[in-house]
Amino acid sequence: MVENGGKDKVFNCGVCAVAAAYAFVTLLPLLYIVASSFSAPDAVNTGRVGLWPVDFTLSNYARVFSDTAILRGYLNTSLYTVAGSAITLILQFTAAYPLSRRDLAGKKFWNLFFVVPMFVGGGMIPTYIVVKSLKMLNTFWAMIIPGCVGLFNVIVIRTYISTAIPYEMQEAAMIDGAGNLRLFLTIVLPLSRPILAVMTLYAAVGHWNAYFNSLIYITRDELFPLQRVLQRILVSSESNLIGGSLGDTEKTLAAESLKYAIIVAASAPILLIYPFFQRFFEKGLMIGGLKG
Amino acid sequence: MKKRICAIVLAIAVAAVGFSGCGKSKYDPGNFLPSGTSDNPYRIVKNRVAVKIFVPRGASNPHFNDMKMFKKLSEITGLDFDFTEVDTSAYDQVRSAVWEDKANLPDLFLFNNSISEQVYYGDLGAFCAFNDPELVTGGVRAGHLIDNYMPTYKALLENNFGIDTDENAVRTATCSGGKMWSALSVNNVPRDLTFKMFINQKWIENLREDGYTLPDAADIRTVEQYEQVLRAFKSGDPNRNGKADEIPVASRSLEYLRNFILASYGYVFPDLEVKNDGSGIVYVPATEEYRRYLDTMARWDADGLLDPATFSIKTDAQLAQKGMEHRLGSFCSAAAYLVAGMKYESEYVTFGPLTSASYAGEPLQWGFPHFSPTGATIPAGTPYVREIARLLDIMYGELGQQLIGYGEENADWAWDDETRSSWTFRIPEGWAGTQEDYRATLTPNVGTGSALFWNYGFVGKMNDPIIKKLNAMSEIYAPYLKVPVPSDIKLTVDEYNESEQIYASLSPFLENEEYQFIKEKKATQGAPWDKYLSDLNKYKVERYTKIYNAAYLRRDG
Repeated sequence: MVENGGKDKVFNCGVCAVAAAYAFVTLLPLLYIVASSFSAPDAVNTGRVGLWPVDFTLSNYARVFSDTAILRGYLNTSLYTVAGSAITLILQFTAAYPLSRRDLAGKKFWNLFFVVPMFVGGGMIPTYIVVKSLKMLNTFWAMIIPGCVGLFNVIVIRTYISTAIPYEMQEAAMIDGAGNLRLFLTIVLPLSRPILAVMTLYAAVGHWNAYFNSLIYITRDELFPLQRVLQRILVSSESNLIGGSLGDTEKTLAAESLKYAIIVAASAPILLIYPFFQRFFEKGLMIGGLKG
Repeated sequence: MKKRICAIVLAIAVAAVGFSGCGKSKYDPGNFLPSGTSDNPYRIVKNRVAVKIFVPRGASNPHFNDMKMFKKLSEITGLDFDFTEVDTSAYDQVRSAVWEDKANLPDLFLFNNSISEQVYYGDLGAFCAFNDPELVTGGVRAGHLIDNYMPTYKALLENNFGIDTDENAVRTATCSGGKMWSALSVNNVPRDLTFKMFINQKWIENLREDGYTLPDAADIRTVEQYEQVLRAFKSGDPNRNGKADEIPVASRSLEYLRNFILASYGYVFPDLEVKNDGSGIVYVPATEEYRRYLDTMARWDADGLLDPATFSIKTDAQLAQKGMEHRLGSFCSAAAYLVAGMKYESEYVTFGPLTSASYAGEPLQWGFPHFSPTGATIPAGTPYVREIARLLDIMYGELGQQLIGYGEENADWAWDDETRSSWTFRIPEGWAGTQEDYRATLTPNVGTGSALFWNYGFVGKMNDPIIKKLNAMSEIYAPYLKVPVPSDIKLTVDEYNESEQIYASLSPFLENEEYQFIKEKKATQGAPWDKYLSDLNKYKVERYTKIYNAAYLRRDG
């Protein structure tokens, strides 16, 4: 690439300035949340917190982590995330690979079969009945199985495989005697690392943040994911000043800053793993998105 | 051939359903004890059986089976409780789903039985009516449940639960088709029948020392006197900190303050309300009285009497923060210490209700209904209908009232002396949380469900200084409570659906207009007001009012 002296520099500076501004706008709420989580409750309630903690305190985190259920919440969510992501990836890739094959019998039908449910879902009530009928209520599986296959993601993976991996390479392997399983495991999967990383991140974030499924399907405390444990800590900290619940003023005041500590506690682990996937993320996402 | 296959498939399906029904039908009618045993009047069954109960569960509650109330009920009745607990955040969704799974309906829906659901499913025959003399369910002829198995509830109903009010318990419990789909949830505890308005008496006294002529909180009778006090709060330095930081009156998004001020002009609720002469129902936001309320609030906002953050305060913590800083002259709350903290709690007293120069009638205070047909429903098809009826009857009795209120006698609370005029709640030593936190471990009455009978006869005898003070402060409102639309006004299914739709579209419009009139100073005279009234009619206010007026006339025969 040949640089065009000053014009390019001006353009690059402009791009950097816009990107920096965008980054700042994006980071602003994040910084505010972190600052509030380390600030005294009265500073948060009176709106004195900006991008830096006011009256620095760790009491909000002490409150969050003093709850014995929190460690179990982290453990449960980690299990749901690891097992759920693994199952999600296995199902999505094994569905996407055949769909990417030119020689799949009834390919149009199968594509339609996967596309239609993307737009027409069963809805919450039928899904609940299915989960209940399968005896999954109040089990580990209720957090893993419902919604474990993202059909949109299957289409994205299919597109990636069919466009980024030359079909001729697959044909050559077949001529050399590779079957579908070997082809999938030794050719397709290794060449799909960017999209695999993206889908892993999607699945992990989805499972880490899973909250509504637990509200609907889980009533046993020992199976609560982290998000549900945090929600219960927060709700039990809030008292209604008017509705008659005779709570504790100090607790009510602390509820607002506690909220921010809870957001950080819930988001930090997933934010920490993001950088490890970042290098794959851009490539995988662009291919899936642009060539669909 | 096809027909034959279809017939075989159908036959198999029917047989499967039949067999599955046979498989589930293990009900033994002879196991039921209609009136207990000689040594235990609460015993409901000879041999223990499990009944399925569907309940909401709040964040502060443990599992229902771990609560003292249900442990005790299970012990004395012989019933095991198989609870399906649903988080209150997702209660409506899961409950809708449960109805679709008809083969696995519970034996009892306890708490939070919405009227809309009763109207809809009752019409489809999905509930057992408590007053159906022909009730047969699960192969058992149960008959009139209240007459046959609920003597305590029956006596309370006939006596209107001993509550002297225009509300009628029997009519409230009866739907438009004449059926009682739900047992009542009853409350006669004054502190829980309205909100409380507090004002700082100490500030009034401080300002008197500074030369202001102000009435005592107890002598504030009109909204004009109240405004005079608020103006003094604004211009003086009643909190004695040398700063002009006083907020004369604060509220979270006008919550309850609007009802308090509106009441001084003759109505208590900005929606449908029975006229004070009882001649029908009126839509209050279209009245002259509502216009006066808006004028007052707009003036207070312009003059700095109303907290400028009124419309942006979204959390209790934001309000309490100002209270703890000793900046609030007046506010609404369940208790003063919740907003002002224990340090300043003693400075605040309740006051009102108020009248005004334009309304000199009987003072009014928004009152919550004594009776609500939301306590408990029994899905049709359960064989345990008689057992459930007896269980509910126990919950209405003295023991049930005590258990759901404060747990077991002599374990969780105890009478102070032989006269039984007061009792003391026993919180274990070393308990780190609040009293309510502990109560939540005993009963779902904290954060989850209203008691079937929250009876002042027991609750009012609690020996606790804060509760005693709250009870006394709340009693000043008791003679003036007005329920905007009595709960014994019943709509048909169609009327209910139509009015719900109108309300859903009307409500956000009204909220926005209130903001415009008060904060943005939109004129309440001439063309803007006429347009507002005309817009209300576009939202079918006339039809809305007509529906309720028709039901009101039906109620009065």
